[in-house]
Formats: sequence, structure tokens, C-alpha cells
Amino acid sequence: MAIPCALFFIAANLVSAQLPSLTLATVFPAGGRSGTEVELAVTGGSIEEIDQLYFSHPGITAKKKPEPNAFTVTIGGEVPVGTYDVRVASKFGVSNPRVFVVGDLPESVESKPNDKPETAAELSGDSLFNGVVAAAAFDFFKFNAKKGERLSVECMAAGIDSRLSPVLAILDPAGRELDASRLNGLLDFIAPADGIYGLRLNDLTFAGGPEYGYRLAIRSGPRVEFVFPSAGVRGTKSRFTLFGTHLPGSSQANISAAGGRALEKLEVEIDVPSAGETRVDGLCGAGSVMAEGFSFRFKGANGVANPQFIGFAEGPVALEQEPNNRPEQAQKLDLPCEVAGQFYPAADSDCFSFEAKKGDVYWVEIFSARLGLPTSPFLLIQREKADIQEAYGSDANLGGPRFNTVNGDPVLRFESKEDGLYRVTVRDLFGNARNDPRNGYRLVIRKEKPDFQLAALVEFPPSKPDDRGAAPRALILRGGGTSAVRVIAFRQDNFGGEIDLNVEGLPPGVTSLPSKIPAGKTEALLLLTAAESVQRSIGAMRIIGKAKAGSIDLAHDARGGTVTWNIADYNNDPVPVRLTRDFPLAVNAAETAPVSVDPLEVKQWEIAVGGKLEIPLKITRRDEFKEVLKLKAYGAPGIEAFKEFDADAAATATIDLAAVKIPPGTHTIYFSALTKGKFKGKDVTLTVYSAPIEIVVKAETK
Amino acid sequence: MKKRIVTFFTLAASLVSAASGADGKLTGLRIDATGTTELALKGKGARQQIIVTGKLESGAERDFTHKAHYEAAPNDVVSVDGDGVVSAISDGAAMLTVTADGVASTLPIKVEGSGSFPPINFANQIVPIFTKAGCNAGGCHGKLSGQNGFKLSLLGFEPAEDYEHLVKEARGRRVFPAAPENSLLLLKGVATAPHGGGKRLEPDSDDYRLLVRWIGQGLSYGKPTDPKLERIEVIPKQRTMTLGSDQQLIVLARYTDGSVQDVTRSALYEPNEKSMAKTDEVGRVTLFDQPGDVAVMVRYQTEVGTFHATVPLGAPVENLPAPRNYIDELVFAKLTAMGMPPSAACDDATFIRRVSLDIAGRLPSLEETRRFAADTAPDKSDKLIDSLLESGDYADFFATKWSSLLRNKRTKPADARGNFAFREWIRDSLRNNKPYDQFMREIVAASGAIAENPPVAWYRQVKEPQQQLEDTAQLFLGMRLQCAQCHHHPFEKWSQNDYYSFAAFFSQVGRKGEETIFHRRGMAVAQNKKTKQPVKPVALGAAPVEIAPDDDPRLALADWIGGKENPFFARSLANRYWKHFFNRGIVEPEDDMRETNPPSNPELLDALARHFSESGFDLKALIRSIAQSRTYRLSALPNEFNKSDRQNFSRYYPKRLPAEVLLDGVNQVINGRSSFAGLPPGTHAIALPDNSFNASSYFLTVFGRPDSSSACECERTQEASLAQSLHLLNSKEIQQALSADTGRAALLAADVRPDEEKLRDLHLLAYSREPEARELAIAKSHVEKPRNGPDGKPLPELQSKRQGYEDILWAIINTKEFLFNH
Repeated sequence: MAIPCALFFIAANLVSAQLPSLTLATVFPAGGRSGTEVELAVTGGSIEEIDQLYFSHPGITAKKKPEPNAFTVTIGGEVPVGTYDVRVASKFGVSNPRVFVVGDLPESVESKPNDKPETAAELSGDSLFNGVVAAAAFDFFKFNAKKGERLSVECMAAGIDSRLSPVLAILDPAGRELDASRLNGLLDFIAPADGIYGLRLNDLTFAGGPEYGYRLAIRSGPRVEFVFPSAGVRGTKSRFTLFGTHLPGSSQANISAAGGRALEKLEVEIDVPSAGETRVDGLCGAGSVMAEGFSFRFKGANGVANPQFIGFAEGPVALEQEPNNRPEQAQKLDLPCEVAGQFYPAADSDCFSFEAKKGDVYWVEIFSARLGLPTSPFLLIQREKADIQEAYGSDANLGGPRFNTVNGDPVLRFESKEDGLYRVTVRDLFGNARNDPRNGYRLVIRKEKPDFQLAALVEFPPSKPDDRGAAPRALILRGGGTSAVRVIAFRQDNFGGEIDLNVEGLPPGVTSLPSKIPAGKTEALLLLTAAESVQRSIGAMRIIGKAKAGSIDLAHDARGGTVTWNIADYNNDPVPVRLTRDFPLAVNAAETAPVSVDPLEVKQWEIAVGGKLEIPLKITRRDEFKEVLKLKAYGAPGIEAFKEFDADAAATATIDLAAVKIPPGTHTIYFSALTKGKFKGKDVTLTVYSAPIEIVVKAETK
Repeated sequence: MKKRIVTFFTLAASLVSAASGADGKLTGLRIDATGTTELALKGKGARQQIIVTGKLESGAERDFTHKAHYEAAPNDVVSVDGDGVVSAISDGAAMLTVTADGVASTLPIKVEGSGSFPPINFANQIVPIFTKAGCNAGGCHGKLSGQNGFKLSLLGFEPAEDYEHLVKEARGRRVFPAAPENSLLLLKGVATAPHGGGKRLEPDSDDYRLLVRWIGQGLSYGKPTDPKLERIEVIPKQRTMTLGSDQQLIVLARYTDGSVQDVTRSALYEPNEKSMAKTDEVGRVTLFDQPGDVAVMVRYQTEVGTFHATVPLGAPVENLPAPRNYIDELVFAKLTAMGMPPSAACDDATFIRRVSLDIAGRLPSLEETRRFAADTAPDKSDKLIDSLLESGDYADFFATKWSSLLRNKRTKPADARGNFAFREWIRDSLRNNKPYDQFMREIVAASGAIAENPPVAWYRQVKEPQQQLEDTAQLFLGMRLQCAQCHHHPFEKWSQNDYYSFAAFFSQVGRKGEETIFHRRGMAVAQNKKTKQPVKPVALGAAPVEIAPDDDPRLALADWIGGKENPFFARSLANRYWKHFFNRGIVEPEDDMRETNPPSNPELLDALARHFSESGFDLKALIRSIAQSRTYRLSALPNEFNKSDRQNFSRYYPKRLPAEVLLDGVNQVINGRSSFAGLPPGTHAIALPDNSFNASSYFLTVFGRPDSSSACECERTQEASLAQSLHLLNSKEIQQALSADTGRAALLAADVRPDEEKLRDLHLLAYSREPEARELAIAKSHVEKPRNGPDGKPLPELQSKRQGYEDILWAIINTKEFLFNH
């Protein structure tokens, strides 16, 4: 419908009492064809002075156009077809990401209304249309098809950070519905006769506006519905079977897609990389951090297919063998192992058996919901007829209400109490009446292997003490300021050790102290501090977590996460989030932080257990922030007991270890307070973080 | 008009008398009592109702119980009164001779143990007295809280509790064995002591005497080994009767020890059609002057039975149309048996309007009406039906029906996504003609998140296992089980245990928040609220099934519901859809199917159900059969015999258009456009996703669009009201739409064609027929007559005509012909 104008991110007002922060609401079009130039328009908050687009792939570049919020994007021919992130940047910093897709089809962009059948936009041949749905409206298209021609129609929406829930309908020349899709924006259409067909698109609830953009592709090229098995061993060449349509050289699969149409299958050899790749495509669910793997796109002479995620298996992958629904049909497994299976057909139940010796410990885990599938796997371990253990999807939310990591996948620790044959049964609690072969799973039974993964989130700056809002943010540092990144740890197999956090790739003038996620805990704040005088910059940054599990050294880079849309109160609405394809840091040299809190000296502060540590602090106030700061201390175990103290121009923080029981060791602590003032003439509430301070608590010497 | 009715009834009556006269003379008498060749009466005070049936020359049977003469020999063993009640006097054998119109018959009788009263069993003999007298009715002592401190179980379903309350509670002051007549129970019952419920017992009645005796004998509850009531038997089960005649019934209680008791005077009687028959306390059914079928529900303790009377009109049925399918064969067979000639077939104009409204929920367009009228192909009606079934309007219209029954209700703004998705899921299911058993299964066993699997939305509104079973029963079995949650179902055989066993199928429904449903592993079990005992899942009337903890019991339930052997599933849908088209279920109301509410044409219902089941539960095929039948094509205009017919489908019963259809129809005729917040302009009312649009549309509310709050079809009101008339006659909404610049009146006034042509179009659009010459002349002269403006000066012609057309349109949408499907 209407082209996205500067109609703007209304919800930004909800958090207007915070420091101004670049937010990117929409990019239009949300992608382009590889090797072409694309005219791009953006909307967002505080983007008046944007002059740069920042892509997660260096082969995509942009030039600012003279008109506001417009860019010419050049997609290098070497950029692989895939899904990338784009951000806007100005001297004030960088924004949250939005998706930018690089495709292989000729693209067009909505340029006139197509809200009536008479004004339907024409889709000619395999092509892609970038549009926006208006509220209480339909968008109409028409296309030519020959009798028997099989076309896949895909309306990308959620996958490009759009709010649209697409409903598609194919109309015959008389305007009657031939086929419809309401759930995932996908239609598999076989033309019943030669003719011009209509295609109608709307939002499920008829919402609309600039945030309801889409990329509508119609193609006769390859499409993959699922790949089996869905995991392979790192650094190997392995055989996989693709199930889909228009796969050159394929054979009939004797299996139907959810819509009832037959699928083809094609066996292919795929190079499984030795390291995960997250800058292109990939899983984006908050809970998917633990699913390591890579994205694979089948390339045929007829085009590049949609991506499929292939996980990294610990060892050779066994394939589920039906019939195995009943205990007596259980498929024998040798442990440890990994099995690729399907919750198919409806009410499928897969039984496996294995031998275990008394005292053997295994972790049994399912990957399915975390692979982006609408499943709710259930695990049951039995010995003969007795139930030993069962597991539903975990309810543990590591990221809190602003980054809910709850997913439907179960995991359990199994310890064999006696020698013998055990049985594990796998079932999809949502699958009792559903016939969809795409709903696969990986069953992993491994020896205990303590490990972890990390996600990094820009800490939400509350604008009041009990702020329950959430908003897309990027990491920005103003001169003299300190910003916080929340790092959350997904711990595997009861790994309880301390995780050291370090940052690499910081620009000049930006410093950080190592931080750590304490043993048994799942999160910590990491602080970055800019010098008073800094250069504008934007660049990738790595947050690396290191730990020891016994004698094994573990190290992992944190994956970025972001809120995608503003939420006023997370108790009323779930916060939409996703993983990001990069995690840049922007330095804002045009502004300084309103308030800085720094130790007078940068050093390691030593203190003995039971002693008293006095840290003189310097408070620098730059704008009209005159409130006395009520500083609290954070960052070390036991520091909660530290009493809030007032700090005006200068203050001394006194930590009395007789009252504040911080254990011996090195800790990075910081002070923080919520304060109010005027920033550029506007009332603002902000959280002030001190620069991090390293203290060393020494054990008493006897 | 009034005169015509009088003539009609006179005629009907004379036909009737001619018909019964034709049955000829009485040729034989039959005496029925307990089904044995010899009537045995045991114990003091034993008695037995007998019925005397006369056989006429034609083979017809008539009740002579109250007309016959009775004589017992010897005369000191039994006595017999004029109503056919035989009472024991002394031990011995006697021969009863019954005579009527010179014909006689005999019945040997034996009396034993007449010297002493048999021991009294509280549950079997005392409790029924309270039920008969109404003491334990829901409005009296039977309600949950009792009445004035005295509580009885509803309709006596819990005798043990009644005994506690009566004998032990209140320090035993309610019964006084030393002087039974002074018991508070009896003093209140006969209203000697002040009693809010008034006089419930006659002091000289058998019931009173039995109570006195029971109290006097020491208030026995009976022994645990005493026989228990197994079932009741109503004699006769059915009979063809004549208008105005009567029939005595016998009700026998059969006990677990094989013994039989006459409980005719203790049972309760209730006809399902009160306009057709009345009953008295002693089991006598008296018909009024209306032909048709009437069922009398008989209740005794926990058991129910029915007597079914067919009352033919007896008129000659000739010139029946050639049956198109099995529906016609069975409807016409019934009409022939009833002696009720059907109305003539309707014309094409009526048919296209009728079938478009019934299948697609809309008026036919001008073009459709013209094309249909001009089409001379013999199969044009079939083609029309097929094209309507293939249209999105069919899916919209029936999705509206189901969406409401499946409680697709917006209770808060956040429900919107689920509601839209569920509605579209229903619509797609209907459009794609998903087999009905699969449709049911996907709802009953829905799992997952609403966003992925929209029928999960049903569980969002239907939250508790009890609600789930009740809705399931009402939706897919046509049964209302609600009563059985708290007590034995008064009109049904279903007990509380049946209820909770059914609920057990839903006991493993797991929830994650409001929007997600899954199967919780474990043994399916529910607790009987009364007995506190766990019960396993058992479908109604079915054998218990073993469900492993791994299996979702709802799948087993869906298997049973949709199974070919299920006697309820196909019948309830067939009846529901039949009602949709004929405005009257074969069982009425359509979702209250039970033994005591029998179908008016059982063979027809059976055949519809069988065909539906054999078709693989093909909903469109069912609709096709109905719409293609000659029965559906019968005119709504009655002939001289069938005006009062409301059960035999001898004509089409007109029905007021449903709210959404009427609103769309009015808009179509006056070229109006309703706007619904947030939906694309021009969205039809039959395409609304949920109930949330009712609040902003007075039109929809006043015409009874349901709020999706229950699984009952009755939530949609089809009545006419003054408020509806006023809204159409003079509301601002309608007036503004009529006089809008884009409205039909403005368009017609500006249209250069002759007024006559335009008025023809208008009639075709609203009624699907050409205007009559008189209608046309009146309308034309009204449109063309000159008018003055408010200033008293003549209006320009265009403006005057526009006003004229507004008047005509206003008149048309207010006619019954427009407001009704006929």
C-alpha cells in the first residue's frame, strides 16, 4: 500500500524520558538482489542526522542520499544470498539492527497502490516484490501460470523484523479463493489451468502501516522443506537428504508436506564447517544460543533455495528407523550417540533402547523447538515397565522478561542405578493430530560434557525505578561515559564454574575491565568506559567467555541479542527478541555523558578480609544533572550488603568487609544510581554507571 | 383472516371424523397389564393399572380403558374401578371380564399375601412420593440449599441423603412414629401446618396412607439386599391416535430381582409438544386437535421412558412430487402416513433466494437471479447449489455459525490474533470441505500454540474439563449433560458417574499460559464430585477403554466420537444442519437429543445420519442432498391442511434472516456500507471474525447476533421484536444509509432508465422476483409524484424522485417478504 513515509515509531515516546538513542524501526526495501544497487529508506527514532548504514557483511555498502533517511545500497556480487543485519549510524551512535536480505531474484518495489483487485501489482516470472501492508486493507497481485506449473509463494515478514502476520490467498480469474495460507506466509501452488491468477495478501488481524513490510517472492526455483538428518559432524563431508520441490535430479519422496502435496527428495553431500557461522542466516530464537551449527542453502541451476539449519553433532548421527512407536519396537542405540528423527506422522512416538552400567551418567537432550520448529518435545526414560525419569521443556528463563530464553526443549541428567537395558521415548506434545514431516528433532545422549554459551544484550536503561518497558537498543558510548552489556550464560550439563568475560576489538579511548559470571550464576554486567575525548567510531567487538571445566579450557564468543519492538510493560505483552548477526560498539564523540563517576585512581584496590576499603570517587557533571547520586555497589558476591551512599561532587566509597562479605579473590565492581536531569534542555532519567573498579580481596593470613 | 382459520379447523375436524368412521366397528379387545398371561398381585394394597385396547375393522387400535365395563368374578378377590385399576382384596383367583360395544375379553388374576403389607423400601416407595408431589423439585426442597432448612436431593436421586435429612436431621422432629399423622412431614404435606409449598398430599390418598404406614412401621430404610430399580417400561410404547382421543399408559418398574411393580400413579408425565397433548397424574394422555407427533416423557426415580403418539390428519395425500432422493422418500412417506398433503413446489425466484440465503448467507445478485430465471437447463438448480457451496460465502456463513458455537469470543484485546486465526481455520475447514470427523478431532484433541494451531483457541474459552466435556457433548453429540455434573440427569439415563467418566478424557490437558495446550503424560482419571471416587475415562454408553499414560485420552475420545458405531455423532450434525435449512430440527431443540425427546421422523434422521457417515462425513454432500430434495423446494405457503404443521416438513417454514445476513442484505439493497473498526471497508457482516463487533453495531445486537458465550445454538435469537422493527423503520443508521449520496435511492434517481425498469430491478434485488403489476403501478406513481420541499415549494424532479426511491427502499426492507427467508 502506501510507501513507508516518515511516519514514525510511535512507541519511541514511551521511553522518551531516557537519553536519546538511535532506533531503527523500518528499512524499505528490506533487501535486494545480489550484485545490484538498491534505493533504501529508513524510519526510526533520533535518526535525524544519520549518515551511514552498518551491515553485518562488509560486501554490502551504502551511500547517504541528499534526501533525509535515504541511502543507495550497493550489494557486492560476491555477497552470498542470505539474511544479514543492517543498522543506521550517525555521529550520535548506532541503532538496533533490522534484517536486510540478499536474494537472487529480480526485485521490484511497491510504487503505487495495489489495494484493489483492479490495481493488482503484476509479478512477472520468478520475482520478488517489496511492499507494505496498510491497516484494514489488502494488497493484490496477479501472475501468469501454465497448467500444472508448481510455484512457491513466500511472503517474508517475521524473518525481516516485520510486524506483519501474512495471510495469502490465490484467486482464480473470477476472484474465488483457490488456496490460502494463514500461518507462515508460504503457499505451494499448482496451477489448475493456464491463466492469470490473483494473489491477495493481508495481515491476519488487518493491522498495517510502515512496520508491516514484506518481501513477497514467487518462484519456480528450488525450495527445501527440511533436511535429514539435521545435524552433521564438524569438519566432515557428509550426506544429507533434502526434501522439497524443484530440486534438480530429485526423486519422489513418498512423503507429503503439511499441505498434502507430494515432496521430492535429493541426496546431497555437504561440507560441514568446523566452526559455527552466525553472520548469515542462522537461528534467531533467544533460546537457540545453545544450538551450534550452520546454515545451508541448496544451490541448483535453477536458483538458490531457502536456508536450512544444520546442527553440529558430537559424533556420527544415527537415523530414526520406523516402526519404533511401541516399546517392543525400540531402536537399539550405542551410547553416547546422536539420533535424527521426526515427529511424524501424527501422534508419533519414538522408542529407543540402550544398555547402561550402574553408575553411568548421561545427559539426554532434545533439539527441536530451539531449531525454530513449533514443537514441544517430551522425554521419558524407562526400565522395563517402570518410569525412571521424564522431562518437559525447561521453564528456566535466563534472560529475564526482556530476553526470554524459555524454549520447549527438554534435557535431563540420567544416572543408571543398575546394569541393564533402558528405554528412551521421544514425543511431541503438540503433535497428536499433526502430520508435518518438517517437525524433526535431534536426540543427543552424551557423556557429561560441561560447557556454556553466551549471549550479550545491551542493558536496558530504565527511566523509572520499576520500569517494565523494553526497547531496541544498540551499544553506544558517549565521551566520559560508561555503558553496560548484560552477558547471560547458558550452562550445559550442570557446568557451574566461573566464566571470565573479556572484551576484544575496542576502539582507542574505550576501556573495559575483565568481568566474570560467578560460579553457579547465569549473568553479569560488563562495563565499557570511554575517555572524555574520543573519536567517532563504529565497529565489531568481541565478548569472549573463558572457563575451566576440570582440566578442559572452554572459550566461547557471546552471541548478540536484541529486543525487536518496543514494549511498554512486559507483564502485559511478551517482549519480541532475536539473536543478532553482529554486535557492534559505536562511540559518540559528538556528545559527552551527562554524569561520570570514576575512581580517582585507576589501579587494583587491595583489601584484606574483614578490612575496610576506601575508594575516593570523582563525580563529573556535564549537563544539568544536579541530583545527589544515591550510589549502590554491584559486581561481586555479597556486595548486596553494601549500603547505598550519597555522592555529590566528590565522595568516598567505603567498603567494610566486616559487613559486606566479599569472598577472597579479584572482583570487578562498580557503582550505579538512577538520576534525573536535563539533557539538551529535556528532562531525562538515566542510570549512571561508574567506571569498573578492580578490587582484590586477600584472605586472612594466620 | 380469522374467518378463514375457523373454516380450516372445521374442515380438519370433519375430515378427522370421516377418517375414524372409516376404521369401522370394534372387532376385538386386548388387555395389557404386566405382559404375563395371568396378572399376579402380591401383598396387601397391591394394585395394577390395566389398559384395554380395541381393534377396529380397519386394523387400527384405540384405547378403551376408560370406556370399557369391568367385572371380576368372584367379586371378593379383586376390585376394578372404571379407570382400569385392579386392587387386591383377598387371596385367591379371579377372572376379569372386560366388555365394550358388545365385545369382551378376559384376564385371569391371582392374589397372594393380601393379609399383610409387604415391607416398605424407602428408596423404592417413599422417595417417589416426594418426586410426584414436587417436594424435591429444583424450586423447592430439591435445590442445593434446600428450602426453609429442609433439604431433599433433587428429584430423589440420592435416597440415602434424603433418609438422613428426613429421619435424623433436626432431632427427628420431621417424623413421629408414635403418632404418624402428627409427623411434621405429613402435617406440612397436607397443609394442616403452615407450609410455603401449600398442600402437596391428599389425606385420603394412597401416598398419604403409605407414608403413615412407613412412619408407623418404624421408618425402615430397607435392606441392602432389597432389589434396586433397573429400568422402567412404558406400555404402550407408541400408538397412532386420532385427534381429540386419549390413551391410558401403564408404567412398570422392573427391579434387579426380576420383580415388577406398577408405578403408573407414581411416575411423572410431560408431553414435549404442549400444544398437542396434555397428561394427567395417573398416566392418561389426552390429545388436542392438532395432528403431528407427540412424545410423552415418563420419569420415575432415575429412569426415563417415552410414549410416542402419532396423530394423523387423515387427509388424502395425492400428487406428491417424484422423490429426488432418500430425503423425499422418507418425508413423503411420513406425510402419507400422516394424511398431510405437502404444499406445492416453490417457483424459481423463491428457490434461488431461499437457497442463496440458506447456503451462502446472502441474497442472490441481480445477475444471478436473471441468469437463473433465463436458464432452461434441467439441472440448473443443482448447478446453482454447487456454485453456492464452492463460494467463499458458504464458508463465511457456516464459519459464522461454528465460530459462535466454538466460542470464538474476544474477552480482551490480546485475544484478537487467536480469534482471527481460529475463525479463518474454521472457514478454511469448511471451504475445503474437511471431513466433519476430522474437524471435530482437530478441535477436541487440539494441541500446540494458537498461533500454530488455531483450534487450540477453543481451549482458551473452554477452560475446565467439565466445560470441555459439556461443550463436546452438546456440539458433537447433540446432548446436554450439564445437569449430570451435580445430580443424575433428570431427563436422561446419564448419571454423575457417566459425567465424570466422560470428563476424565480431558483430565490430562496441560496448559502453558492461555495460548498453549498439550497432553500431560499420566493416567487419565477424574474425580466424581459426589462420591469422591476416581473414575476412568468412559464414553457415553460405551465400554471403558484402557488408555496408556503416554496416550492423549482426547485422541481416544475423538476416535469414539467420530467412530462409525457412535450413535450420536452423525445424527446430531444431520439434525443440526437440517434445522439450519428447515428452521426446525427433526429433534427439537437440535442440540438436546435424548431418549425422551424423540425425533419427529426417526427414519429420516437415521437415513441422514447414515448417508452422512457413509459419505465420510462430507458436509457439502449433506447440504447438497438437503438442498436438492423436493422437500426443501416445497413452498412456504400452506395448503388447506398443513398450516399448523411444524414437524413433518410438509412445507418450508419461513425464518427471519439472521442478524448478519439481514445487515448484508439491507446494505445490498440500499447500497449501504457498514464499517467495522479495523477491517477493510466493505467487509460483510457474515465475514466478521468474532463477537467483538457486536458492541459497536446496534443492528447486529438487536437482531440477535450471538456473543459466542455458549455451545448452544439457542444463543442466536431468531425472534422478532419491537426494537428490531423500530430500528428498521426509523433509526438514524437506516435513515442515513437510505438518504446517502452513494445510496441506492440517489443512484436510481440519477439513473436515466425508465422508472419502471429500475423498479423491476429493485424487486429482483430484494425479492428475486418481478414486481406484480399492482406493486409496480403503486411504486411508480409514488416515485413520480411531485413533492414539495420543507419550504413548501415544489422540489426539482431529481430530488423529488430521490425521495420517492428512498420511500420505496424503506418500504421494501420493512416487508416480511424481505425480512424472511421463505
